[in-house]
Amino acid sequence: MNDFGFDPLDPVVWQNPWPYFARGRDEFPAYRHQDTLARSVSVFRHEDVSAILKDWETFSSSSPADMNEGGLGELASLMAEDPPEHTRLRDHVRGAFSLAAVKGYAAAIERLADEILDELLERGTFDAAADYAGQLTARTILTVLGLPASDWRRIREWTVRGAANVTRSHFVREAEPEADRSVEAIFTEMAAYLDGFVHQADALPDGSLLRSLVQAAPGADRLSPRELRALAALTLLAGNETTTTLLAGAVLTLEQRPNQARALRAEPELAASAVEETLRFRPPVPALPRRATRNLTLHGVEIAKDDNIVVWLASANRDQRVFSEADQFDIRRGLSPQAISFGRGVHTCLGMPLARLEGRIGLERLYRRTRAIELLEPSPPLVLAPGVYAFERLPVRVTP
Amino acid sequence: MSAADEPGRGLRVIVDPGVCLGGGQCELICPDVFEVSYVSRVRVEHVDPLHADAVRTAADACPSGAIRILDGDMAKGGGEPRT
Repeated sequence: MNDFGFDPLDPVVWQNPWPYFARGRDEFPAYRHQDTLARSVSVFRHEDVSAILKDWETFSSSSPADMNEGGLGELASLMAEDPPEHTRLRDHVRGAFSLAAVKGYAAAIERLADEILDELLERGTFDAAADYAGQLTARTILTVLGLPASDWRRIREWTVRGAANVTRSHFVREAEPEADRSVEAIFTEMAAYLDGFVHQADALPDGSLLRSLVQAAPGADRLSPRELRALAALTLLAGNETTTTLLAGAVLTLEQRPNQARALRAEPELAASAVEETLRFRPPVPALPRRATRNLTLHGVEIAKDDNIVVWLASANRDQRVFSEADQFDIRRGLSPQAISFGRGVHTCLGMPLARLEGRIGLERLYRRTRAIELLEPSPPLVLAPGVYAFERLPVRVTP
Repeated sequence: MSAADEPGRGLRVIVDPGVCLGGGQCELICPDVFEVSYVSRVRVEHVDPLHADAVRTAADACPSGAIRILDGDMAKGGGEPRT
């Protein structure tokens, strides 16, 4: 018996996947997709999602040798490796994004948010996803890396399309050679762009992440130019559309609930708490892919070695077995320790503190500087990709 | 509540620096006990019973699984690691 039919690439399903997640948790905690090209199993309960992410040996992040690694090809890095290689790469960057390190970026992010708002408030009508959240996050991550912030539109274009590709391949019903080629072209372009900076690191700003990585002390474990380029690409890909979606998602979720929007406007210092609730309620990365390294059975579903397992963070975060009133969005709820918005285990998102900081500042500045935000599309269209729950656009009209 | 959990009976907490990613969720949950520098570290290893619940929450919620709680009588040098 299998009439669940959950298809995340169906635009109607994707616009409102929550009832599917609820049914998945209750009736199909492990669900084998029927008509997909790849052999893929979705997992919906918090308990299972958490256990799978913690067990990297059984549920690998790498692709079988004969496959294009996660669609990233030459740019595959941290996200597509297992320990010990993963640990080696990760140790080069983990301090750079620690909570202590990113606190130093707060003042610059605040200035940037205000500078962007100066222009947007003048205009009155804008795309809160691209023009505000997208610009803020792209310019921030470029600055952190040491790349020209003025390249933000180009980087944004690449990362939006690149992020859309992640996890999509697990659900397509027929091959998409044209789409594959166009994503490949993006990654080739991005690799060439980054190569230029890797080979001229002396010209990068002092203290910037890419320069410190390239100029790691002699004798220490050095990254090859290819590894450096891939790590920089991952930082751009992972640090862009995700945080953009967090901030834009907060605005949408708040403005769909006038009481909550009013509460934040009355007390803008609730922004940090509102960001936490957005992370739980509408995680920017709704699903993460893994690959089984052996045959196993999960909730009666037989999983073969090399099958894809897609764990649904967005479903885990609404699991009523773990969260009370899980479907209620309440900006006073604060940090939910059980929320799995940044993953779990060795692949936990390194950018977690930076995402929180950008989200909090972006939201706080926007609500401090506006008297009202009007959604011009009550149900804005979403990018059809399970990798990031991103917006095609989020048009708003604001009253300063 | 086991005997080891009783106030004053020695709840100890450690952060594994090889596992910690410096995300600082522990500091957000219980700043009196945890502090993030390059990676997270424990500010006070012997936890005031006042913070015991928050420390357990932080350990349970640590995304990378870097926080360990040692229950047991400290006079005997701590107990079994738990996560």
